[in-house]
Amino acid sequence: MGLLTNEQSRNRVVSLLVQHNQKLSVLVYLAGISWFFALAYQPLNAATYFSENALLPGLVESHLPSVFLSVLQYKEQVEQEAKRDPKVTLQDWVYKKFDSLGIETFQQNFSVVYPFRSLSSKVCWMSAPLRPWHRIQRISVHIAGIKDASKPYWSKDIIFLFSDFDEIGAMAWLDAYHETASQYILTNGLEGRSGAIQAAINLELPLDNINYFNLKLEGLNGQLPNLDLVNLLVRLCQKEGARVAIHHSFDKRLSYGGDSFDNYKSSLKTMLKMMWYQASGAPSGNHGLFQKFHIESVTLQGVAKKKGSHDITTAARIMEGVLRSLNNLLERFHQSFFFYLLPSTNRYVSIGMYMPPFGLMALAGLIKISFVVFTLTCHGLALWKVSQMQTNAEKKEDTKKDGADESPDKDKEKDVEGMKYSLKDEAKTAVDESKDNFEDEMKTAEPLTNKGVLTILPVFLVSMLMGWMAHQGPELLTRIVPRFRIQTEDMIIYSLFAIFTAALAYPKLMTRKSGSPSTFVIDWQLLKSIALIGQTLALTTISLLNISQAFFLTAFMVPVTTLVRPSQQKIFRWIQMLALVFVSPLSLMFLVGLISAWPQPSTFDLLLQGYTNCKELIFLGVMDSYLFNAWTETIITAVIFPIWLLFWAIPWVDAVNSL
Amino acid sequence: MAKAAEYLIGFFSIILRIGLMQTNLPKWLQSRNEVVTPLTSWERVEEGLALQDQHISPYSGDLFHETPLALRGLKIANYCPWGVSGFFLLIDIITMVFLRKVAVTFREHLLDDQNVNKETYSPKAESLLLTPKQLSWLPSVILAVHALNPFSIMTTLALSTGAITNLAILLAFYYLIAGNRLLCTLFISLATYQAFYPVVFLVPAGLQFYKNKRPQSSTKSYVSREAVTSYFETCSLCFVFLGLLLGASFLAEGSWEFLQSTYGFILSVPDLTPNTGVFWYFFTEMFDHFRTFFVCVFQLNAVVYTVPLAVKFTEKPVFLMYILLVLTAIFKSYPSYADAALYFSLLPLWKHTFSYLRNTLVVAGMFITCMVLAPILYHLWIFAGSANANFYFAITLTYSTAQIFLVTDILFAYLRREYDLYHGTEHKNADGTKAQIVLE
Repeated sequence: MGLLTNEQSRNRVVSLLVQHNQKLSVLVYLAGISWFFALAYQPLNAATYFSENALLPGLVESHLPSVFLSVLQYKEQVEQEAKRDPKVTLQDWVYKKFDSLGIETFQQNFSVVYPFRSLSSKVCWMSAPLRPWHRIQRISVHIAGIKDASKPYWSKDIIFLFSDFDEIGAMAWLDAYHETASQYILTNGLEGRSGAIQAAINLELPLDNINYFNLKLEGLNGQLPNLDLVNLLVRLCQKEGARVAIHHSFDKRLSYGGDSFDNYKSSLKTMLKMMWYQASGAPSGNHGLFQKFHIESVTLQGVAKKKGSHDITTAARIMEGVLRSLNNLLERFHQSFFFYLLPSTNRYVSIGMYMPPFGLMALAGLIKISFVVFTLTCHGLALWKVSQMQTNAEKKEDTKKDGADESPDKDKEKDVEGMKYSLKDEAKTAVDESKDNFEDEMKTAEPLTNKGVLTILPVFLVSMLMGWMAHQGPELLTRIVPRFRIQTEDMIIYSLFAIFTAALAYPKLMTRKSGSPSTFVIDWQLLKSIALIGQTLALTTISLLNISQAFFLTAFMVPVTTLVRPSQQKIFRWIQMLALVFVSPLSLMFLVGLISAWPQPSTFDLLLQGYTNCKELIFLGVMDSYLFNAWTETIITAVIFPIWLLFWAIPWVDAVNSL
Repeated sequence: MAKAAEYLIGFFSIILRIGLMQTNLPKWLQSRNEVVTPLTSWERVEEGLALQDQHISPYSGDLFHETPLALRGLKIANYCPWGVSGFFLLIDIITMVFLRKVAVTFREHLLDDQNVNKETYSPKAESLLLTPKQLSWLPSVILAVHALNPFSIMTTLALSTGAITNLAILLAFYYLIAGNRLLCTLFISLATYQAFYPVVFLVPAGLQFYKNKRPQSSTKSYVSREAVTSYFETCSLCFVFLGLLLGASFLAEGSWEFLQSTYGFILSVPDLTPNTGVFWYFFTEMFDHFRTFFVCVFQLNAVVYTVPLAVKFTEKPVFLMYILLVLTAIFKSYPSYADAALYFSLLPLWKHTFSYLRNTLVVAGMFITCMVLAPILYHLWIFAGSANANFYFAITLTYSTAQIFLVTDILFAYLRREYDLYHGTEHKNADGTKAQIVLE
């Protein structure tokens, strides 16, 4: 409480902040970002371990027969079946096969109503054949075989799910299983159902031999599976002697020792790759939607190579291991970590490790607020300043009128309140003086027409409105699209472009309205402090949901938005505007498109491919938000975009007239 | 001008609430445990009404915690235009009417108070004196704050019966300033009947009505025989009303069963559903063996500040009542945003002390952060399963801390202004340098 009641110690902190705020915020940002990148360095992160002992991965002893003769037949069977009667779909074949094994088997149909009418005016039924993932079937069939062999240790139900249309199929099944109705994916109910699902493993296996296994973890909205499940898969792969990677990047062999620079480079690459996928907020595999229903899930992808060292047996053994470990699990996954980043398969960076550097990066903005606010008023938000100054002005008038008849000599009464006050010397610092000077300037700089909440209210409302339009716009606009005969994909991106361009022009448009000859005068300090508070709050909130998204947004936005201010020189103004445009949501999207298009033979190709990718990215983002309730699109359009617009007004402010 | 502004703001506030009622916000808010508690949830009222229709005592289960008279009174909500939302909108409108009345009466109260004490003030404190012109906008400011107060908007939208308790407290506050002992005690007893904690408002009420009765010139102490008689009168009036209410409840219900479900529920805190308060986390961790002891400690904590504050603010019962309002809102067993709604709407009453506030930025930041993060951390804990109870607890703790910062800041600002009134605004040391005032 010392800081709250003792003004002296408080002023010291404040004056330090005010005096060095520019340096401090740059320093804090740089420290934060370099610390964050340093987390991939082995001595700074920790080795993974099993938190949930019940998983007992080491105890599993394989009961699979060493040779699968029957496996090899299935592929031929399917092909023969297809030749004999083209009408028989793969679905039917799988159904029959499972049924013949004595497993309860059900089929489920679903349909998708597209949120954008122009794509299809009616409900379209999806009953296309399954993609031929023969291997999955073989493994599953075999595990089913194990179960049938009536081994006494199976204590849980195992569900085999074959789904169509990637995530939409999985979503349809999950919705039906949990009886949650979706507006866009319509399903008919499930006939069979089990209890709460503990974990799900999504298999993506090739036809050929497997060279190595690849893990995909990132789920919807940046959610991650429990680290124990990831550990389990990694351990079991290693036990089978298979190489395992995260997003196709392998751990560096430890021949140089863990803390070598080469090792750091590869760790950083792995971590950034993971963050890249997580930041999108879209699931990186079919498993991603399970996490929405509190089911831990991972995708195990087998990467094929002609002369791969592992055949189907390895995958089957890994699956057997996973299932038997899960079989031992008594509770839901609740130990270990849910918030982490992986610099390699056996190292992790937990939330406790990455939050401090992230916090430092976000703090850069807050330090700046302290400057803006405290130079305006010694204590409290600048909002009050206006009313205070007005009342002061009024008071002066009033006291002139009727302030003469006061009885003197009453000021000696001591301790009227019974509280002990003591007078102390004020610690005079240079900053206090400057603060006083500043306030004097403020007083002389009356009238207060360009100060206060009212001047920034229009900016605020316009930004909110633009955010709302960017959020709702695509849906509203696509209703009139059929008349224009434009593809929906194009329509969405064109409408966003239109809104963005309109938004870019808004300070210009507001200039003309504000009366005095072509100046744009607002209380930019207040605007900036509110915008910075909003930005910090938004980024912190996102960091809890999706650290990678928050990290990339912070890394790009904070330096620009913290330093932006009105300038009298045209060149600085243009530089600031360019920098702001560079960190605007749309250009960041394009940047993402460019990076994902890299490398291309020529610059032109790169730009073109980048644009195509960007378009696709936005379209998928919008679709995901409708079909799976993904938040990325909402966060970008309704939160980040309006906040960015608040900053966009600042370089337009006429520096001469505003202070 | 000011009058027109008041009507305009009132109109705007109603439109805003009606507009928000059309979205799917109310449905979401009704499930938010920061907004509704087991005591104030409308769902439970409906349950109670249904049970009553079936001639089953709603108090035989452990779901329903409204008082018997409230249960009967709330039946009319279904017959309001626009149904239950219309009823709560009506409550909100009445609240606004009385907020305005409070502001108008309080304005006069402030000026009267100032005129009485003017002689004792320092001549150097002239700039601090309030003028009628300065205060003329007070009703508009109060109404504007209420119109945009997110807490009160959420309370109305979520159909929290806390709004009714708030109205009773507001009425008690109004009649305290207006000096109507009978109605003030009536509404204190009503609020106590509904929520128990408002019983502490008897202290400021007792002080205020003794102060009113006492002739201006006399300087009799607050512990004289006369004073005690006055306190006794106020208290007994209140308890008579309370007795009548409880008696009527007994007659209506036919048994005393309801006491266990209402006051027993408030005092022994059996429901540990997460809320914005300090109880739930502590008692989920608590061994049963120590439970009774710590329940006593926590409940005592909610009311114990009444004593030192009453000693300190004997001369300022209105301010005392406001501070007690905030403190009970923080420390009660089932607090929600509804409790914050009332004291935030009344906050502009102390606008003249705001220039002495020192932590506005910190406190405002904390409140905003809590409001944004609470539902998100709840989602991460309950739905996504990736966070745990500690995340949500951290944010409710921050919320309580923010409220405590706010109340200490208001207290400090008020005292600081009082000090300046008696000692002038310029503080100089003996050697003529600028001095700083430190609270020790």
